[in-house]
Amino acid sequence: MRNPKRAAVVGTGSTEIVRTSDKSLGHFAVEAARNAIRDAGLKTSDIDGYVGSPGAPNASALNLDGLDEVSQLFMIGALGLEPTWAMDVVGMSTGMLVAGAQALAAGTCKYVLGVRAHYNPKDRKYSVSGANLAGGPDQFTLPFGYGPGGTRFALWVQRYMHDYGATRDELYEISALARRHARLNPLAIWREGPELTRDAYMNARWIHEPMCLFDSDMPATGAGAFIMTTAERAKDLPQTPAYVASYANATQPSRVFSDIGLRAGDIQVAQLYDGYSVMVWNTLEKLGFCGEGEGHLFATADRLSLGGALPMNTFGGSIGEGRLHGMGHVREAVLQTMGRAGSRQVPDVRYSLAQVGVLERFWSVLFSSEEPD
Amino acid sequence: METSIPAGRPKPLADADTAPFWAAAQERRLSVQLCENCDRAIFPPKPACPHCVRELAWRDLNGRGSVYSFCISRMNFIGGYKAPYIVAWVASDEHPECIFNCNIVDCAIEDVRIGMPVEVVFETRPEGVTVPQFRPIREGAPA
Repeated sequence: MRNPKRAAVVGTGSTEIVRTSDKSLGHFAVEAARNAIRDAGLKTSDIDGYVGSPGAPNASALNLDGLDEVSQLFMIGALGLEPTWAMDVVGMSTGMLVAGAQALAAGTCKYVLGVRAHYNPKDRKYSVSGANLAGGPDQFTLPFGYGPGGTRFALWVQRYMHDYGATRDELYEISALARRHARLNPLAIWREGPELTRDAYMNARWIHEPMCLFDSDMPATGAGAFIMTTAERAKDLPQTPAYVASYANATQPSRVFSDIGLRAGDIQVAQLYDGYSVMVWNTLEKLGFCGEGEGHLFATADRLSLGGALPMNTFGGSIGEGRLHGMGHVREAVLQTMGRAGSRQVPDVRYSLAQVGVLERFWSVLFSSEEPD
Repeated sequence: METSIPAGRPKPLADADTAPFWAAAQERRLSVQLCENCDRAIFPPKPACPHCVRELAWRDLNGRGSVYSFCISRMNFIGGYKAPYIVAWVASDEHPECIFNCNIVDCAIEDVRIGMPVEVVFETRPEGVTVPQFRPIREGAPA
């Protein structure tokens, strides 16, 4: 029997994605929200649920609401919302989808607006920490010169290369693919190219060796938003619904497929978080697309390109589009499910995956173009 | 060697759970939490054993380990650090589940390897704080 309270995404909204801007992040967030509400065929007064994930992740963040972070309180005030349910979650954009799906299932609201925005400061360096005191988890990292720029992932991939014989030649494919797909995405920072050549990659400057400049996404300023409602209400709205078929976190990652009787290979398209290219190898293994240590062999350009067996990061990923902490991944997974991805559209999408987060902390959400039983 | 440590490196801000680690480092001991119930060592410090949720005691390690992984940091993100420098994960010989974030000191950047045997060395910084770092154990060198 179908579940009338099953969640579906019924609209998405985005802003331009730029390196830096004179506008505050609140300005971007409001614009993304209005675009999503319009896309869903709703009015702002229809929105009675809100979910966000405000944390600014960078070492130089000021953590000021409305400037470089956007909380539920800011958005309620900025849009004049009167929500019966509102929450900020840790866990980036797929975590927001999961929270929104739960709120709809519980019947606490009818239309959930989700907003995630990311700010790259104009007047100072994104990742340079001014901190002289390092507390909490930072006390075991920053005092050792460990922290911004992906130290942790450089250490992780060095060991991975050692254990499994993976190479930078293979890693190049992830970033090159991102930049190729970005050329099909009008929002992407790299929409006008150029393609990333193997030479350019191999000769790029190091950040934390063995990771180079092109293994990182780019700090950007922009916002993304989505609208969720129940399957029952979705039928009255203009967009083809992207039904939430299942979700799972990193503690039992393959449940995103097994909970509904699928295997990883049964889906048509995947958006996997690529804040650093190396994450993709790990995620492919964790989700069960391949065995442990095989991610680097699985992640070939042939397989992951549009037209391949598992098109991945068809919008260019964070590496090609710019860092929105997964809102691009969510937007693209939804558009692919709805059949609205334009020149990037994968044919006959039944199942479309968005995975956002890293290593032991992520949420995956599987969308379906058909209403699940 | 200690006089060559630049000023301005971030200073650890201890809390009740982590203070014994930093106090031990000040006395040139490498100390970690030990669960007396399930016999696991825990690092970084936690409020309780993550395996059996019991209270934790502290014990000193012998300070020897090996490089589990490393990278060469080639950008200046953090005060008091000048690139290039080595950042490593060092696994304790006694309790390999304890992985320490550290720099490999007294080691040229081209010489560091996964599996390299290392020993703790205590680095006292101009601000007065002492932190555990690791250096290669050289064959024939006095212990």
